[in-house]
Amino acid sequence: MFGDASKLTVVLGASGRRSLLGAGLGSLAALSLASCGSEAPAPGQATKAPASAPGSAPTTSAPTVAPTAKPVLPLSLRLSWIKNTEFAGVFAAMEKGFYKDEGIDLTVNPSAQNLPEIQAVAGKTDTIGLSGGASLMLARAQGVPVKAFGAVFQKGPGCFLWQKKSGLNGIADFKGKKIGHQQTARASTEAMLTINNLKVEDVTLMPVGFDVQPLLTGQVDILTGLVTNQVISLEGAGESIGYVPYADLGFGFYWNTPFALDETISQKKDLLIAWTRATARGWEYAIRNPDETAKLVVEKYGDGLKLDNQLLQLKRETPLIQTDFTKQKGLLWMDRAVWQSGHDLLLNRTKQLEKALIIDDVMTLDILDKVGKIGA
Amino acid sequence: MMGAGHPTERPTSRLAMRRAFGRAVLSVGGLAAILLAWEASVALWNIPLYVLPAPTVIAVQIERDWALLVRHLEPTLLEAVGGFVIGNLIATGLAAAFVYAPPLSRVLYPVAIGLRTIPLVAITPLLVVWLGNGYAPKIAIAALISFFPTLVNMSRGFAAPSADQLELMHSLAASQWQVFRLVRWPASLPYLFASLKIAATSSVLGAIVAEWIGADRGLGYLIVAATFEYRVARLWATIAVSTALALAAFLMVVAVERLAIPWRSEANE
Repeated sequence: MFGDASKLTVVLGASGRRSLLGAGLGSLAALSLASCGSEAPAPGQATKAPASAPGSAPTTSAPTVAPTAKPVLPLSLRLSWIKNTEFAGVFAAMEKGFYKDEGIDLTVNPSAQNLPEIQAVAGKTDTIGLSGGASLMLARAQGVPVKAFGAVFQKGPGCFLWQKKSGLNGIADFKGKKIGHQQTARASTEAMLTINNLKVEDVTLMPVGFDVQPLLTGQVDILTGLVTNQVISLEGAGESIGYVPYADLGFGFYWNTPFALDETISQKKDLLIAWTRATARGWEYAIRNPDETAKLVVEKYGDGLKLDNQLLQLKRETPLIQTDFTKQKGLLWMDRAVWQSGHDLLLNRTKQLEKALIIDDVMTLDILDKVGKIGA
Repeated sequence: MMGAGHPTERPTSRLAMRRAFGRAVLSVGGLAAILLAWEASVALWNIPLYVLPAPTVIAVQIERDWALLVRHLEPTLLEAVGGFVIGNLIATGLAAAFVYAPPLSRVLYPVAIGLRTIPLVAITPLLVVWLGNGYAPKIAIAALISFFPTLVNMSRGFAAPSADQLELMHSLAASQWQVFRLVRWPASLPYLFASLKIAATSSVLGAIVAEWIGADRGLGYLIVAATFEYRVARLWATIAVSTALALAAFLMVVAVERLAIPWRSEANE
């Protein structure tokens, strides 16, 4: 039991999020084992054949989703983090009745340090999950039959950050510096250096926790973190912070991509379409009404969070969620080419993928095609 | 329980009380000295908040966040107590079964050790898959963490009576139940309380770790939320409350132990 006390201290220092890439996927292998014993289909060897539905899951066989006089269907969503403005659109849609309009009774389950979202969906605890594009591809590579059907964040919030007083201006200045990275972000950090014409030997890479302390105490010059978290927190604490998002360094993955099991996507398509439409409407509302939405999130969902921080976070997120691309196609839309290039990065640069995946196994536009354009 | 009616009648009680008072002064004094040294070093070396906040800063934060902390204490307490009760009941029952069916212990003991060696952080997401959302997976983790020390100790405890004692019972034609009730159970009590003290604190830690699976209430949630927003003082306020909770649980077990086996606890507390 004293071992557990040390576990406590490990995460106590955590200031931000888990790694962007592939953190905790080890337990997915265990999941494959675990579900063999239960009635859940074994995700061991990925086959596209939808398992004959065990139990009697409610299905939406009705071809149309009319907002009137529809039986209300329960649906559960697993977030990728605690309830906060990172999911503002979902909470706005709940509050404004957008899910109810679609006949959905949505339950929202939070995650935290222990990365359960892919496990939760694969194990059928939740129907829809939100995760990062890279994590989903790594899960798929391990035979977990999950697929993305949309993308909330067009650009991931991951970034390198530093104190402005260090005189750094961007990745070109990283030579000879100490970079603190989360343990699981080693491969992606190295990949970003090489993509940007730096050699790994040119810098000192130091595995650190999620904490900002190594940066503040000068143990490292640069830290990996999130634009929407560490940067805001540090600025809030009066530090002057510079940062560059990974997305601007040629490292593009979608973030908070809604995903579900293959069988859900084929069997409950209308339900997913309805959920995606309501969620896109929710984000449209949240982006237009950031003050109201941040207040809602703090007061009703994220107990103990600070309104100023949450509002600032929502505002920083907006340009990552609403881009020229979504103005053209609609919120939550995605581009197959982005998945392909992300896939190629994982395969060729970071070597986290051992062999190529079929992109259409990883993502589908079938749902978004039916949702149409929401949020200009 | 058993000795509850007697302590005041014992001739040594006044002396014992004076001793207990002396011990309490020592404990409180020790804690106060540490807090004072802590406060002084933070001031002396000008230690920034993010490295270590001063105890007074934490105290002020606790006062400011009191309603919030109490609100989030509740679910953690429920998970810890639930896990503590379930884990210890199963462990005690299993240990009793081991005494009467040794082959069972050979089969299950390695399994129990295996359970204990699973890294909790790895298993928590799976518990959500197995047990669903809500309190169940969190109570399960607190139970899992309470289970092992009690199983190990009680396996020893039930086997503690000497061969002479058991032989005597045998020659008195005592039934198995009588042997258990009159010999094995009382003999195991010191072992039980030794493990309950461990389980009391670790079940609180277990509940907090479990809340990192994902929760929107509880001290574990508050720790995640406070670190997420880099609110160091609140983080430490939450740590202080968690520690106080674990300490209170420990003291409660000690108090029950005093009542249950006064002959034993007198000697070593």
